[in-house]
Amino acid sequence: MPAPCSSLMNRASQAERSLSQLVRTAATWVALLGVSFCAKATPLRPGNGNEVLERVRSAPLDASARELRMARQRLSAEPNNLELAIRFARLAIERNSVEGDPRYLGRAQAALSPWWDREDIPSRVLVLRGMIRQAQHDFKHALADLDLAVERDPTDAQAWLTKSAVLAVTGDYEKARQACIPLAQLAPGLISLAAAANVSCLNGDAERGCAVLRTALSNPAQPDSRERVWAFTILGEASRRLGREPEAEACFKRVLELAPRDVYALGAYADLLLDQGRARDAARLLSDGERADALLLRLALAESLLRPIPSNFAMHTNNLAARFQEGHLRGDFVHLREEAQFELSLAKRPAAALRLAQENWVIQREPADARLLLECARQAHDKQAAAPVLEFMRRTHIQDEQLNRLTESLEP
Amino acid sequence: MKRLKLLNIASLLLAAFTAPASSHREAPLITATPKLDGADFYMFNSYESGRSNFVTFVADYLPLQDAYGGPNYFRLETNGVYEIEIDNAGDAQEHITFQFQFWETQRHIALPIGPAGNQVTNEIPLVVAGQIFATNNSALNVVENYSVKMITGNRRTGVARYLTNAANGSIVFTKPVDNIGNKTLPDYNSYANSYIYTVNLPGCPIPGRLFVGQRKDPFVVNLGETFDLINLSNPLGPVNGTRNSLADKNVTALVLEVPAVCLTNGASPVIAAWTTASQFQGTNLVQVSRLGQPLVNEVVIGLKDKDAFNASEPKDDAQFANYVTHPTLPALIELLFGAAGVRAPTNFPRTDLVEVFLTGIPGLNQTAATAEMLRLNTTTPPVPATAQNNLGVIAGDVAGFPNGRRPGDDVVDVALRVVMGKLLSTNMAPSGQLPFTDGALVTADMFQSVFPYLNPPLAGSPNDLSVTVTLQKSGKVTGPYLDTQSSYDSSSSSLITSGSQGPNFYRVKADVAGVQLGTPSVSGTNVTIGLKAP
Repeated sequence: MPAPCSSLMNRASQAERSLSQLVRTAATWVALLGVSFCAKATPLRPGNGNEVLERVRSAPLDASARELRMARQRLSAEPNNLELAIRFARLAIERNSVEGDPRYLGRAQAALSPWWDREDIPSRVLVLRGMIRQAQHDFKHALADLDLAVERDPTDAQAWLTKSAVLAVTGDYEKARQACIPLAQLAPGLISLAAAANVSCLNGDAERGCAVLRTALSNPAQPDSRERVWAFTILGEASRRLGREPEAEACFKRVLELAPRDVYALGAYADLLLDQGRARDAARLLSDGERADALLLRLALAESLLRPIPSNFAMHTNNLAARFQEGHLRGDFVHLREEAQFELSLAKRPAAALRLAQENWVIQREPADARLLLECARQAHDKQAAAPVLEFMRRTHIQDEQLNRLTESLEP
Repeated sequence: MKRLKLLNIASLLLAAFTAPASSHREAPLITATPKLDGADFYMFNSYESGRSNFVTFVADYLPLQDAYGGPNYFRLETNGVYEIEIDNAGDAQEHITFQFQFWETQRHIALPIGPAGNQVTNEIPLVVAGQIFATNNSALNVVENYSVKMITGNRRTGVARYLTNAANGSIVFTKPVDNIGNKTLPDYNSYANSYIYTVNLPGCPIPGRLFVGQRKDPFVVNLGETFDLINLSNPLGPVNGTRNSLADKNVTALVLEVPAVCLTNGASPVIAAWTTASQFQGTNLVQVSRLGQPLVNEVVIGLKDKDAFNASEPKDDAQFANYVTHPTLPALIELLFGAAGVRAPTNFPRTDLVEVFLTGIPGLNQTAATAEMLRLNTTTPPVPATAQNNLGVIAGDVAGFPNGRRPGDDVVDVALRVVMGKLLSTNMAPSGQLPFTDGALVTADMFQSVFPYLNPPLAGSPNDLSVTVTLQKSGKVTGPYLDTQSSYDSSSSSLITSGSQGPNFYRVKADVAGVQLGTPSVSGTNVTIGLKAP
């Protein structure tokens, strides 16, 4: 049985690697964060057992939280009720996409556990499993689930939509576009337009993609706000890549009017502000940034640019480092982009950042991933490392002013 | 070293209050889970020889039926009604409605299980208990019956009278069981055809015909990517280049043929029709599905309004006009195929689409109302199946879609071409004359050219399987189970086990998920159970 043996060996060596990496990075954090910070870190010793060390925030009781809680209660009474499990899982997945809190993904998975590993997994559970796996950056298995889902039921629009989005994230634009064709026949309107525009904006046809989105978003037939949030985000990011920063900013503002806590939109808007040197605006935007690491990273980046450096900066940076450490212990890949950015911009270790950015590029190929790898290659003085991204840019005809500038700076 | 350790513990404590979020942009959850309603609606002047003065209606429900759908197969809703509404006055309101209502009759067929002296008679948990023939359906354990009312005036308040069987005056009709497989139904076609009724229609001097039953899904659409990628990225490719996504699916069809003279109001030969399904909520009927023109619900109406559309009536269709006058599909097609030079029409509002979808074609089947219905001029001579053009009116065959809709009309290709501007000038629609196609072909010669036109359903056929038989000691189905001996006869695809081993209730567990039980029969002390592959 050679396969299991080699698999076990791989895991063992992976664990060993993770451990040594952990020790290395831990040592570096101390150096990085500076003696002054370390000197201030004194152990907290509770005086007695009744002393409160930290209050865990209670979940906000907004309408969607209440809906989720009620769905949970109904499911608890009937944990094997497929309809109730699907309902709860959908709400939890949606909550994660807004809050950026993957504990909701765990809850969704737990709700679906009676069917999760079954060979005859119901098709609707299969689609949700694919969605959860993609949110955990397990794109390979997510795509396998979604492929099977559309084979079983070619009329499942959600499966086609998620499949197209995942293929776009992994840089496979031709297949992402193909998945939009059945979607167009099943789910007309903004949702399929946005899915197709998403691909066009990444694949050399950004002007047309933006024009279609602009028209669709001004249509009097107002669709669901989730669809608008998604479409405005796509238009905002595409506008930013085309150098139309005022339009991009307007889009992000519209998104945040519709969904003030949307983690992805907050991150995208903060990136724009940071590019524009508006660190103070970015820090203000992310005042609630501690709730998700993607936001905390940008907050720390903004704080690092402010003078005087805000007092929370060291804590935020230290906190981020700890999050990445935890991630290594868990063996998850969700952090690779953020960790590479952390190493590059905060730890100022371009070589380590480059390694992470290269690992990340294997999994995820959004423009931000391309930009990160080019920036790491530039700062690490390793032009060869930029080659896969440059080849990708040539092949996909991606239009991105920042990427173009970086490419020029990498040329001899 | 000690300080480092403490620092990291502190970090981890702090870190517990943030969470790792995915960094990529995810697709949103779609509000409703949209499905191709699949339910399809057809209306055409009958092209079966000698029936040119009749109109045939086909309303398809329960789409996406896999042939291996056991053990209960696909039954129509009994807590509601299916209706075909007809507007013959051009006011977008129904003036004649055919209302189908279904109910089930359980026959409680039981088989003696166990050896002589230790036999228990158990009701079978299956739809069938033996072979079913056109002349003998006594082995059918569950029978679906239905009646059909013809309602004149408003469908809820008008005058309702029953259609009757011309042979015996009965108002009760039977839906043949689904095509369970060749073993149970050795000649399904003859069996199913024995449920085609000649019916007397209230107030109509000429009888019509009626059939309700499972059919091969007649709708043809390409929703997959299991075909050549070049074709996929080329909507101008060959019209038969790709696979029909519904090729292996069945559907349940309500088919009714009515003399045209009993449908029109005498003033205009044009009728408009749609089909709805409604459920009882208390004593009220609440409409949950509506279909008239093909693809309107799927391709034109936005997701946000799908539920509203399904609950609506044509007379209120002004609320959906924006979807037709400002469709999103052409822009989407340009996005997907812009690199190949495809351009969407530039004129808004799209009055050309209003004619196709909302008013009818002037001089052919236009009515006064602006509403989404399937319209038919009952005086247009039907074209024999061999001479039909599957692109209908846009290809010069005025007896085809959108002057009604026949099974062989390729409405997906027609809709693609029309939304891209087939009926517009080139300056308004640069790509309007391109032969757009989804690549999945449908033509009239793919169907039978006699009532009920749609083809018999695909059969569930048994294959050899690996199974385990367990016998239960107690009379209840709760376990524990004991392994027992059995043999599998591949020639008959049946599992044979001896009932002489004592226990009195049998359970078959397949090693392959989705295996269905076939027909149990008892011969001496042996129990034989047919098996069907998933």
